[in-house]
Amino acid sequence: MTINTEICAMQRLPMLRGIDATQLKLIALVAERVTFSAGDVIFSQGDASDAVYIVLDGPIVIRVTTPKGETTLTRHEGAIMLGEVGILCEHKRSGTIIADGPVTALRVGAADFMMLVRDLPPFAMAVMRELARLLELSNLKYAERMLMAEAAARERVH
Amino acid sequence: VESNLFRYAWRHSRRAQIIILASVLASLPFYWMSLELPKRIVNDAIQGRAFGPDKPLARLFEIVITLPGFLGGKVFTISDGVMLAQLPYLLALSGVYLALVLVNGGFKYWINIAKGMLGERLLRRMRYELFDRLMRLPPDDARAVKPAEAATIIKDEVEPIGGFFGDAFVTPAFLGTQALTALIFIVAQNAWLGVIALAVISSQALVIPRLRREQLRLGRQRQLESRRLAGRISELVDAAPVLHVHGIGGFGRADIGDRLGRLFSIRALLYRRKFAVKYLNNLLAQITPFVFYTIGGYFALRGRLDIGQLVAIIAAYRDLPPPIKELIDWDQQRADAGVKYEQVISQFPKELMPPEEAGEHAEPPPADAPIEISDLRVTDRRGVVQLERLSLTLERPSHVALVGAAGSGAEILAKVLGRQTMNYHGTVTIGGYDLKTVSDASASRFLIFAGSDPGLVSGSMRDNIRLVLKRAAPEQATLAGSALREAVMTGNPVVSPDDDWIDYAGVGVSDRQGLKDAVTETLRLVGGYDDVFRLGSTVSVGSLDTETEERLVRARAEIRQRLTEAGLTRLVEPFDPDRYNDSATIGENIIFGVPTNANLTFETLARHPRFRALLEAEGLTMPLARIGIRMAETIVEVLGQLAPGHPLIERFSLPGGSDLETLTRQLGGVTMTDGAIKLSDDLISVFIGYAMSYVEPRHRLAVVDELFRRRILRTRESFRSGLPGAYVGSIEFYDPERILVAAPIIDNLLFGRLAYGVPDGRARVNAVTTAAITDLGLVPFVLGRGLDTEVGPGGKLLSRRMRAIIQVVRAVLRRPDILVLDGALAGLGVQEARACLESIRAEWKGRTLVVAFDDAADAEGFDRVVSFDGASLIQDYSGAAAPAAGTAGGERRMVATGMRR
Repeated sequence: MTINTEICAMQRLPMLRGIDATQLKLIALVAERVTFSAGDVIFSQGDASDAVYIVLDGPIVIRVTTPKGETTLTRHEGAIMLGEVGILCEHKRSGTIIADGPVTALRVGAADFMMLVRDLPPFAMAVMRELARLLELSNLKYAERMLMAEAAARERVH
Repeated sequence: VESNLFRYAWRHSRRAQIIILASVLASLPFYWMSLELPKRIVNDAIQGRAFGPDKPLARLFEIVITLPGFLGGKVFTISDGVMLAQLPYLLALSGVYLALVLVNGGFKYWINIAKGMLGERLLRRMRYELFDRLMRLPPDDARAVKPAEAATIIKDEVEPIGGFFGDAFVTPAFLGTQALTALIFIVAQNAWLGVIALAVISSQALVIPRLRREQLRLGRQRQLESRRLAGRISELVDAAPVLHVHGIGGFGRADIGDRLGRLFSIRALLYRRKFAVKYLNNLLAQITPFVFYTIGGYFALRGRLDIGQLVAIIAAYRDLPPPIKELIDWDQQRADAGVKYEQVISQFPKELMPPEEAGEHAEPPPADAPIEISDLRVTDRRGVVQLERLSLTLERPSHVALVGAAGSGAEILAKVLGRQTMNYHGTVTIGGYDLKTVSDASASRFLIFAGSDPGLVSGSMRDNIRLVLKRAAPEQATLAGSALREAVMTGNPVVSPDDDWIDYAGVGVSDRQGLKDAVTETLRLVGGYDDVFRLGSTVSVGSLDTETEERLVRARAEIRQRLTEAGLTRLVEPFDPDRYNDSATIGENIIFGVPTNANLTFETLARHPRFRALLEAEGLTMPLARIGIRMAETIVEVLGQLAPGHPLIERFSLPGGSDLETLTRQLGGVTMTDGAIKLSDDLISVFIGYAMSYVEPRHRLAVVDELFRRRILRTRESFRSGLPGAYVGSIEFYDPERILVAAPIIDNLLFGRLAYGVPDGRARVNAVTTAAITDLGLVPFVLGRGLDTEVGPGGKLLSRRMRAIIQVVRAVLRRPDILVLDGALAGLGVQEARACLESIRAEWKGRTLVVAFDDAADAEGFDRVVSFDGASLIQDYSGAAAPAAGTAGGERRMVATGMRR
């Protein structure tokens, strides 16, 4: 895979739209291309946040361990950015990511990631957009759960 | 230090000065005789006055002592001498003259040497004393000293003073008596000529010093101006990055240019004066013989003076002006050195810290003696209050957090407790020790401060860590022989810095090995172990003993085997003589070894006709140039969008450090005609040089295919067999059975390159290698190589993180009873700083830890939290976990500003 094919792959990601080819090339140049096969752990909960993964292709599973036990949060297929929250907040990894099939990703080291965010405004926008999307998603989920809880409570009353 | 130069010199060199003076006196009779003798030679021997027609022989060498009249006027004849004819008489007298010349020369030689030694000894003493005072400056004053100026003072400015020390007493005595002797001699021959000589000399002595006064003033000005120049240059060098960032290099240059100009004009004036004075001096010196020839000649013709006398007078007079001139010079030097001396002395304030007593072993205060702060108030030099009046008792042992913004009372209090400032009112005592008056040696036994400036000196990391342990001065003089004598004579230390100064007991170990272990353990504690280990594995192997070499070779096989067992072989692509290594650069694949000569780089190689011929033979010239062009294009395209000086530009710069501008210019030299690339031979070399650093999985331009690999392999073969003569011995070729001393340790161990594109590959391989290194007992070797890394001046070669780690290791190593941290962890990342502090806190259970924080949230879990807003204490909180504070359940006190006494 050449750098140009990576750029084509990145251009297909909705998340990275609005970033022109030269800028994508910079990201690709800074990044290391990594591949995972099914079952590989991309990173584990509690690890130090040392890099962001831009998954170009392939399915992944996100798992979270809480004091009550371990649970699969979600399965995702296709392009996604992983691990940026931990770096932005200087936290440890909040979940475990496992490849659920062959995965191709770009790995951007924490320092490089911060540099890209600072120096490439379109990239910063993309990261923000991604974070906003996640927030919206979790809001929706939270609302759903609230509604379900209310419905259950109502049933108990009746 | 005495305020007067002469008093200083007399006090420290009395004996030597007296000895020299005595020998000056002893030399005078011989000098007189050497003046007297020519007269006798001319009159008695040549003109034959001692002989007569009836006197063919004359008596020579009779020694007769005639006692003065009041002692009875007796005459003792000790020797009758010998009777000689005229020619032997002349020869004997000439022989005596020659002997006198030798004796006088000998005296001069001995006196000059003695003077020089004396001067150098005093100079050594003075330089040492100045340095000692510099070290004893209170910390606040020390910070105000410009290092370059201090160095100039100690090194250059005292030099002429030292030269003068030897002359201070001896020269006036020696030259004065000599001139006087000559003058008396002239007067004794002829009073009139004596008066004339005296007149000329006194005019010289009166007029010239006056002319020289201006010269002195200029000299002083020059001294100040050049000292400032030195200070300014060092400031500008320190500020060079800022000059670059703001593009104000021009201003800096103009500033220095202006100062150089000022120095020049002072010098120009000085020269004019100097040579005017010289002219006058020469004139006076040469006019007098004129007078002597005419008037003396007149007297001689008239018979009132014999020829012998005239010759002797002229000879004596020839000897007269130089001493006088030198006396005048001496007077000028005296004034000059005096001024310089006063100026140097005045650089150092009167108030100094107490002198360090050698081998001081005051007992540290008991571990539970509280820190008593009473009426502490800190203002800076301008009188701005930095810390409002404050009285506190900090129980010990306890962990105290001082919370406040940078520059607030928290930081100031930390600095006071750490003895970083002495400019305060009130007292801080710990178990009877007053922090202001306790000596460094005593305080450092129980109290260590670590601030944000690591204060590294050039040398290795190990040197820097060991430096802070060099507390145990040898108890007896370790210098010997003349070195010891000289040191004693000049008040210098009698112990050698090459001795083992390490305070092993302070670290709780007994020997070198114990110290190594302690350092390793402390590195682990503060979280720097991995860094040093990693660093050690990336530095070149260097010289080895055979045992380590064997172990390294064994480790190489062991690692390979373990990687195979763990199924990780694909993570490392080995150096195989018969295979192209995709994870290595094209250049590495061709030379297949490591250059041992720093001059041998890919760029120089690409220019070498022999090397180019090898490439040409495989038809690689243009393909490689094309790769270089594409790399350059990519870099210009991608990095062109970044601001100049962006760190990424540095990271992706091509070999040779070409900047974007150069790359663009070089690409401009490439033209395409009908799909064929045209460029100059010089540019071909440049682009081939770039292509040498190409790694397929990293640059990803899809240029390495099977055919290309085969061609490179063939080139590798022919390169090795036909190494250009100039490079024979400059390359160590990869050999599975041998260690390459020029290659990094990790490369030697893996004997291959980490494969790209495998997530966490590095970490997994590292885990395997580290385990193997540990099992084979190579850890101390690798760690040692890491600690041997140069830190550069001020630690500039290290990352900020590494500097912080060394700083913390230094502070923690001796486990002081009280550790004060103020920004020492700032160089670490937030998470790491937290982890490091946590380990230090665990280690400091039962000891006292004082930490300054910006943010109260970080102070969680401390026994005592003292918060400041600006210069005032706003909150003093003893946490629940404060057993020593004696406040169960935690007590929160709001404190009105400045009211707590």
